[in-house]
Amino acid sequence: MSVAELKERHEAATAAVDSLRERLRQKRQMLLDNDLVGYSRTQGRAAISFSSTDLVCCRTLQGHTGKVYSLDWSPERNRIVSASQDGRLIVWNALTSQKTHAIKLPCAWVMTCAFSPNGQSVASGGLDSGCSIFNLNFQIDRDGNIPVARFLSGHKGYVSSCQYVPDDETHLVTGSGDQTCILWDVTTGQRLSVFGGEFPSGHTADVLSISINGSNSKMFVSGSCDSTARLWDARIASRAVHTFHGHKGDVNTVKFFPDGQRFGTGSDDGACRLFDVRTGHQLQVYQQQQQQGDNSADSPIVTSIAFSISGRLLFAAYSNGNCYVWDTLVGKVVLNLGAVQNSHEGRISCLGLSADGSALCTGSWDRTLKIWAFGGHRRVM
Amino acid sequence: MATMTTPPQPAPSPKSPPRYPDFCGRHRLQAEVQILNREIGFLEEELQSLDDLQPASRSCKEVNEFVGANPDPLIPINRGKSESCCIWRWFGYLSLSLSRSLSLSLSEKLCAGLSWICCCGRSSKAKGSSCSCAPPKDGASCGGWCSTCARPEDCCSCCSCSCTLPKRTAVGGICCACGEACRRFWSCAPLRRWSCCGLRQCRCRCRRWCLCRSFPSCRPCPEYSCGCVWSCPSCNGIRLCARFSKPCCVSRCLCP
Repeated sequence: MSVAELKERHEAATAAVDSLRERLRQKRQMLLDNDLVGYSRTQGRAAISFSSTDLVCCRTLQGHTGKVYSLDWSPERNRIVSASQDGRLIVWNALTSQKTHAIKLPCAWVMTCAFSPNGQSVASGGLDSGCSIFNLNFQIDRDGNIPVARFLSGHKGYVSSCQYVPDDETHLVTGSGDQTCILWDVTTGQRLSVFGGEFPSGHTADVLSISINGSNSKMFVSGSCDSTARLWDARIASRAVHTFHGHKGDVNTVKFFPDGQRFGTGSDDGACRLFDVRTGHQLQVYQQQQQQGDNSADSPIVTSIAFSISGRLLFAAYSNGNCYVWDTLVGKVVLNLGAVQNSHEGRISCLGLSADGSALCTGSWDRTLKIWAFGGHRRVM
Repeated sequence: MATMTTPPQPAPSPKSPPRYPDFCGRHRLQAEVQILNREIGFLEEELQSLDDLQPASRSCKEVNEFVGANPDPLIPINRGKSESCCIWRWFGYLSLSLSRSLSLSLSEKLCAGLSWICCCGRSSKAKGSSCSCAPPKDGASCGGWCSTCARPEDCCSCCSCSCTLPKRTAVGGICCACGEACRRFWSCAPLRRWSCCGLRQCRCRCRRWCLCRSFPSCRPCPEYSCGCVWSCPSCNGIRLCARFSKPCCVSRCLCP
């Protein structure tokens, strides 16, 4: 076939793809007969009402000497690992605020950290383009450091996010600035699958966040600078199961809804969105109305999100220091943790809910972490 | 006898190199056409699958049912108007807690024990709980920054005051002064000093200009000084790049 004929075919195929995408978009639009807030209104849902002392800061974890970038709760035993600009991972006892480990990282430019399911190891990743695994039971060396148990190398760009596969100490997923996600065997250091990296199946820009489905650990979602979130099946690396469009800016954070059938996203466009995994529908947008005259370039971006254990609350941290608590069914902000007493003094960069859903931890550029819990009165039966 | 003269041979001249066909472009085009055809197949499949897809309202119903069926330890009891009674949710939550472990939930552990680290608030007046303003340990003094708590609800913030020196900056918005901390990251003009024990406001209002004059586009002073860092294979180390907030923000590495 001549080059001219190939060019004609290329043009025709591109037009066919564009036409099919438009038909898909229109057909999907027709299936959006309601959103979550509209449906909840028909059920008579009213907004959750918080007083200023219902969710209170119970602990402030101090010790980092740089901005906190990432945190993760241990699945058991109420510990938290945090990663900071100071080049350290700190493992905290959430109840006593004590530090159980302070790990100096080989590469100080850390962006993400994660606890293993059994709580024996922590992982970190960053600008060294790799993921370091530390065994918390290892002997501390003469410099007071824990040696790297395993270094997962293979990404061609920075590691922005990492998470162990739930209930599986041996597998971990990373997201990277090289536009791919990788599933690793932690025990051997091997890359088991590379997700993306090939047009058009994968992300076309940096991957900034990943979240593994707690109900089906074979599925995970990734958020990217290409303004999309993608759903992946760990068994099929060649192509994303679905691509979720809607955001107008980088998708900085993704988190599965507690039922495992939906997930939330937060973006540079200042909005959070809720998507349905099985159908691909966008169920809801959570965004504050812009003040008139606001410069869109100065609009706060969403840095991190987390859902409460029932899914009724969506915690969303923004670059302007706010931390809104959204009522997911009513679509209203019911509390701003950034404005309550004892809140952070800087941007909240990361959020995480404890395993039992009774406490929220926030990490901030003010170098501290704070633990929030329900401070109102309860009857114990 | 006449002799035949052959016409003079033209002078030898080097031949031009042969024009090779553009294999790379052709192969690349072929590969792209293959990818596009595969994408067409996927899109047609997806289009067909939409015929059996449930509308969004069904998914919304599922979300409502899930949220209603699951207790949430972070949500107050019996708030909001036409909500169904939440007592059943708390029964559900308690049985969930007990079925998971015989010990208390994390929030209950956080609020038990030492009374000066408690989740104060409305519970301060409830039976069985107390919230006293105990002074910080180890002889630390809050000096002039902390006064006695005017209201029980302020106990938690007031009693956690740990400033030992008036000028010392304590992170976490507790008894801090906007001075050195702000200078480190922003140019603050003018500086403001806040007595923030019991209050959370301790911020420097800074003009939006960057300390790094070589990067006038910084707005405001971002991550690692004035720019973000980028690590790429051809760089021996880490270099600054001109945009903020995320690494990998320029397409090239600023290596020398």
